[in-house]
Amino acid sequence: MARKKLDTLTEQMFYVLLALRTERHGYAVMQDILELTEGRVAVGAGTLYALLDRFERDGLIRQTRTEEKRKYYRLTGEGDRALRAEWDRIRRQSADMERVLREEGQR
Amino acid sequence: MREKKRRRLFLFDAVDYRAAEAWLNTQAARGWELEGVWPGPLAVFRSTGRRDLRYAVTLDPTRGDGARQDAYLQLMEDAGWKKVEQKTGFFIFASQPGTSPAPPHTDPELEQKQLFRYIRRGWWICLAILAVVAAVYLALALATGGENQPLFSYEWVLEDEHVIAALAALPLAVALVWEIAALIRLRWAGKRAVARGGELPAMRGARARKLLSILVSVLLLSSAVMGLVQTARQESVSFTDGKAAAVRAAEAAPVLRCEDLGLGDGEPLALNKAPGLLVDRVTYSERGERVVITDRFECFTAALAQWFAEDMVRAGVTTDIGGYYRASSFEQTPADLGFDQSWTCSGEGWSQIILREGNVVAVVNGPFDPNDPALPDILRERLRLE
Repeated sequence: MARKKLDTLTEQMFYVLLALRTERHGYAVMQDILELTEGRVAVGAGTLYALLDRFERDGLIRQTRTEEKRKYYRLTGEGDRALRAEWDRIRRQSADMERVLREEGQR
Repeated sequence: MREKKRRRLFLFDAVDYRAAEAWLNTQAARGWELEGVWPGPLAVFRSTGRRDLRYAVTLDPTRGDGARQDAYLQLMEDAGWKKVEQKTGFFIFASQPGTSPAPPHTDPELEQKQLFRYIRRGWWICLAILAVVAAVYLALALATGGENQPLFSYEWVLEDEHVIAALAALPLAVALVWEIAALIRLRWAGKRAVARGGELPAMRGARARKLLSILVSVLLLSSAVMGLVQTARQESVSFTDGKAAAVRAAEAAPVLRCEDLGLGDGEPLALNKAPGLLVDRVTYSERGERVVITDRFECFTAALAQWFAEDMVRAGVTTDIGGYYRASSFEQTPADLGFDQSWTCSGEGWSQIILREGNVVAVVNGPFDPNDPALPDILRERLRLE
């Protein structure tokens, strides 16, 4: 199953899905990620196109409209679940790290 | 003032898009801007003063779908990459003046997957074509009674298209092995690049591999053309051109006639001359009481003639009117007739001699006695074997 491969999202995948909580076209997604991460994460146009194509096939996003050759996308319910699952995973990782550091500090 | 231009061979396939990108960026750093890659492998550059010019080459991710292609090109343009050229399976983009766009690929793992998916698709298409060719070949073999024919026989060297196709086989094999080796190398280099988060490397030897594949294509194309050229060069004189014309042609040709064997005045049937790259063939048949048939092959070298003659004996054929061969149930026996090599076989009222002298092979079939002591001299003289 293609969806199985997306159990863990890469950083770029995560930010693309995050940007698509609002309806956006490709370049707007790239700009939004740059702004949100203050330039730390850049997604190239070729990589973004491949990700959008894959997310759409996996039902995580859907195309909403086309305007002047620009395709607009938005997260689907399934995409939102995938994004939240990843967020949950990252938070648990973060919590684990904090607990380890706290325990080290107490010793 | 006339614009300064230069032309260079653009020797890259889609799978070598990273190598093409590196090459174009080298040209840009030297002050050359790509104008286009015209049909064929010719890239035209014009002089530029731009110092910010960079190139990006990407595989076509749209699978040729028009609407998807529009969307992809728009996204690239929004990101600062303007399409300069589209070739089979890939796009060439140039950075727009005054911009410094991010590279199109920022995920080497995803890029490597895309590349290998593209390569796999190409290989599947090749395999499908090969399977069809093999199926046709098998069907033909079964239709002809499934005879155990060798892959390469004396009949092959008579056809120029087969000679050229055989010439293409070696570079084709080298190209295939080289391509597979380059892919394996890229797979490992790509994995290392992914592990350290770097860019996907270019496949090595891209231009040399492309040159080799062009050579193979040219040879295969020439093979088809040479078949037509050879047919056009053939000459034929037959009884339909009049007996006098056919006799004159036979007299001038290195062939055996009925009267040479003391069989009286025969009726010429046909004289065919088929020049070839490796073998020039002359076939003649004349009807007396029985038909006398001569097939004379002037080979490129004596070694080729030796292989040619021995392969004919291996195939165990007898010649027919018009120079056609059919499998014979008569055994070819080595005979000492004073030639470099000779074999004979006999049936009821006819005999056949296959002989080689230097670079000439001849097959003579008719109502003669192969043990006649005068025969070798007659053959030597008439077939011009000196």
